[in-house]
Amino acid sequence: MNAHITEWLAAYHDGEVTPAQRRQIEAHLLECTQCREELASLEALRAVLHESPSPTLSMTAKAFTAQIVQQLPDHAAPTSRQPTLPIGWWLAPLGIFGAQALVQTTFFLSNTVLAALRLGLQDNSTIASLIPPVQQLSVSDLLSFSNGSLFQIGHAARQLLRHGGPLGWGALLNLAFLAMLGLLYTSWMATWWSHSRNHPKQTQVT
Amino acid sequence: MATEDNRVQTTITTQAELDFINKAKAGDKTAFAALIQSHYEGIVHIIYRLCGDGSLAEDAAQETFIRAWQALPTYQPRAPFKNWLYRIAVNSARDMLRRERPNVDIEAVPLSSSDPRPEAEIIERERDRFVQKAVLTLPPASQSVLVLREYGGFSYREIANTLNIPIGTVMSRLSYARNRLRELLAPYMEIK
Repeated sequence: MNAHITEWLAAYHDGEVTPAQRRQIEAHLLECTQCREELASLEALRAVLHESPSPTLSMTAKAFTAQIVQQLPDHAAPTSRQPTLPIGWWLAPLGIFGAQALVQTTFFLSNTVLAALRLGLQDNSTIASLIPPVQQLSVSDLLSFSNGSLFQIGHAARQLLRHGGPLGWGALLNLAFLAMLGLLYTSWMATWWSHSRNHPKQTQVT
Repeated sequence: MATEDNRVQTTITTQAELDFINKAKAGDKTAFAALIQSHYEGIVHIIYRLCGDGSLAEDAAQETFIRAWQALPTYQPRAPFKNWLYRIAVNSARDMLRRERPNVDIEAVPLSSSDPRPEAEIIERERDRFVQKAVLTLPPASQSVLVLREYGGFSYREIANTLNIPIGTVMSRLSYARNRLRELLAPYMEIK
């Protein structure tokens, strides 16, 4: 240990080092004037701080205690326990599920309306022309999402995008949204788990 | 080193103390009185170092114990009682200072002295005031760490638990406080 050990001296001075570290530090101190001076300075500071007298107490511990006890309410006030998780924690998954329900409903309604329009407005060429044609998805396209290789999935996604149409875009958006919700929910679970580990139920001291 | 003994005392919540705590949790004021008596001097001493006024320290100590009584039902014995109590004390001292700081006059604080010689007494009083003022000029975060270490004999881990900060932060704040005090108190320090 040739370099100065200034950063270790405070811990040594406070008795916060292991026996092995203590031996190393003491060996270093024997041969290093600068570190010895630093340690002496810390000791001098402690001496000055401790020379400053304690306050003169106006009453004995017994009298002080009697005075406090008189002021205490009859029973320890039932302090409201800190909830395990704040309400916001519970709102997060509820919000996620709520958002999913909203999106699913929107998709369902829009598809229903589009289907109704196609069935009932075939003669109205102006409105019908605004509705994109129904995308015919092959079974193999759909299956590739569930058990296909990455290449197949990519191919199916490209097909859907190329042909456009409400079902193609809708299916992709739906999948993307579900993936996002899943990610959010997993993140929430991970955060909740981490929070529970790091902040076990503990006294909230004011 | 004296701090070794202090550390043993601060780390352990003894069985007897735990019994008092459990009884006090159930509303037993006599048991709580025993807890007050055993911590009264230490608490006042620490608060005094944080606020620099004896009577203010006693008021803040009263507030500490009343807050502790109110929060006791939520105390979990996982944390040493002393650390828990001192956290309340530090917070009470800070709150008291926020309310009373304009009225605190460190120059007017009477300091006891056992030296009968007038000149020596004056010099000693002057030094004591200066030391106390120097501690009070520290930023509150560093001041709390220094006071718990130097006057409370708390270990780094106990300070970390009491103030709810990492040990690394304890060390850096302590280092800052000591360096600042060595600058301020250089004229009074006798390096051997």
